[in-house]
Amino acid sequence: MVETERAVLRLDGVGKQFRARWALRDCSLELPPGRVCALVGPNGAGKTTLLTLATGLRRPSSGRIDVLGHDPARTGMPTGASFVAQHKPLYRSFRVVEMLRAAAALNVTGQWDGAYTARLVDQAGIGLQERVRELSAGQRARIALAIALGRRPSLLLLDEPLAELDPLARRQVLGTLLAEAAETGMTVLMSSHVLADLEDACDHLVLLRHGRVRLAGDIDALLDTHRRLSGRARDTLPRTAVVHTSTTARQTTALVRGPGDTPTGFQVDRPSLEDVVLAYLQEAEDAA
Amino acid sequence: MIWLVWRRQRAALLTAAGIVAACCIVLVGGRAALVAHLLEHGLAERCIDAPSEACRSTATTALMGSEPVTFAVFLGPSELVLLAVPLVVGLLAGIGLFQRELDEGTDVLALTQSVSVTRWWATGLLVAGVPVVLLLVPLGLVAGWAYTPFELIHSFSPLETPLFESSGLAPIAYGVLAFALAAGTGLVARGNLAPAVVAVSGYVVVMFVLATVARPQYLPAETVRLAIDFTRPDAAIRDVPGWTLGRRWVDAQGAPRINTGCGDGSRPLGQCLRDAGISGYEVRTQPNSRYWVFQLIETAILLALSAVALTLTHPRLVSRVKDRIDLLGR
Repeated sequence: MVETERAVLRLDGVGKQFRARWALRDCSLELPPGRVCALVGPNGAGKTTLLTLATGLRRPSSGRIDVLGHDPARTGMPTGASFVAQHKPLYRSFRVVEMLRAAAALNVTGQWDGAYTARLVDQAGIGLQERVRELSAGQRARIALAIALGRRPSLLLLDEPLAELDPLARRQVLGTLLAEAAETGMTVLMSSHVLADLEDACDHLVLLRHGRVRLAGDIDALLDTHRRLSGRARDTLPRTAVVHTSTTARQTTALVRGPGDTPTGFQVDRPSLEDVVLAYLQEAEDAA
Repeated sequence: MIWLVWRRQRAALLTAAGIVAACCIVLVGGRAALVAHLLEHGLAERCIDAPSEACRSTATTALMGSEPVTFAVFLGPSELVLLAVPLVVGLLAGIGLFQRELDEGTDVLALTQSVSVTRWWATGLLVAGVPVVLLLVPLGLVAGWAYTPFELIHSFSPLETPLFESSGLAPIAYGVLAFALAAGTGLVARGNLAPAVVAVSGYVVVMFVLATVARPQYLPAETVRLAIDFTRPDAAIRDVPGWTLGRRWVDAQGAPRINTGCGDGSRPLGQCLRDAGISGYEVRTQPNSRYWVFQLIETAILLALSAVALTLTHPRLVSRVKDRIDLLGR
């Protein structure tokens, strides 16, 4: 896929080493503007590490990151980006109104839109005099998101934004997020280890496995370039281009990359996103 | 940003202010009670804040046998409490400053807005640290003022522990040290206990080392040589005003004599000393007039130590060190 627009986020051979372990290794990817991108992978795949490198909270051990034309390793948090950490940190002893004032105080130099944040908090039905400590996880997530959006970001980085939320809160948070993304045209990169959360929301995918980018690109294009083959268990498949094969007692299912001839006895389908993601996650295990 | 740090540290700082206020009230009360008692027993008013040698003997005579035990009891423990107040104030102001941010993850929130690490760090230190100074300035002044009349009834030098550390500039500097240790440790070590442990032990060790090893040598001690009057039973040995670091007998050649064998009281002291060949008595002392010079020296040392502690825990330095450690590999 040829990117005509300038990438919002670009990683060039980025690695991050923690003692003996590489949390990320030789990662390269480009995220075009306006995308809602799912960053998926199992726990420990390096999703959080990638996001913290993009915010400048940590520096890569190797390679280079470019966020909206800035190198976060040198400049710290890029002006046009926002980040919500997984635990949605807020000053727990504050009232909501104080939390909003704190957010404004931390954003004196940026393009802070306090009215917008206040409106989002109000839409979430959260009273300004309530104590942050006493809010539900869903309410805290919505405040954290409102603060992140108040920075009027071009790139919104979210680490497991829906984790620990009940199904209703998930829908509400995701709803706010997608509505604002559609309205402002910002790029969203959100990590999750639960694919179902993101399947309908995202149009771009980055899949991490063991600290490496295993798959990245436009979701439709990814689905177009893969085929799902299913046939009887005794039929054998040529190994080339097969990402992953799973065999039950009666049936063999395989995800195959690229076009090609359909082996006799097999049926071809367009895979679902889940088929693709699961196949690539398991492929790594096969290789290991 | 200033408001934010104040809002986060407000409860701790108000608690510290309450403690300092309580100490000041107790000190003012203690002084008032002693002054009232002394004046009642015929001490001239001019003696209260200028305890000269003459005033001291008047006071001693006036109070002969009537010095209420309560004043002596007040003096010791109150001074010990005052030794700990800068520690408490510094701890309260510094302990949660960064440690609680790291604990609750709000450092991630703050540092992913439009605030640089250095600004976040420096604003925190200033907004939480300046109140430490502001609270301990009056405490040092009140303590120095409140203890002055106690010199009439109890002989001590203002250079000595505990008065030296709890009056003048020293309490401010000790408070800053406790604050710097607590705040700095909060940036480096995880866990609630580490900042308190480091601050308390650092404070105690520094205070002990300065008082016992360093302070006697801030300036060369003066040696006062007293001639012995052999005809008097007490040999005319008297105290030299100031902080006495050591005393010894010397013979005619000026050589020190450790053991004169005259201490047992079986013979008049003067006579015994003459027979033993003792010709003088030397006192090594730091004069009380050096109080402010010593205060400045000790303050400078403490502020330098605080600056080192804060520099070593600067978040940029810490993250650089962490990066290096991460790269150490197997």
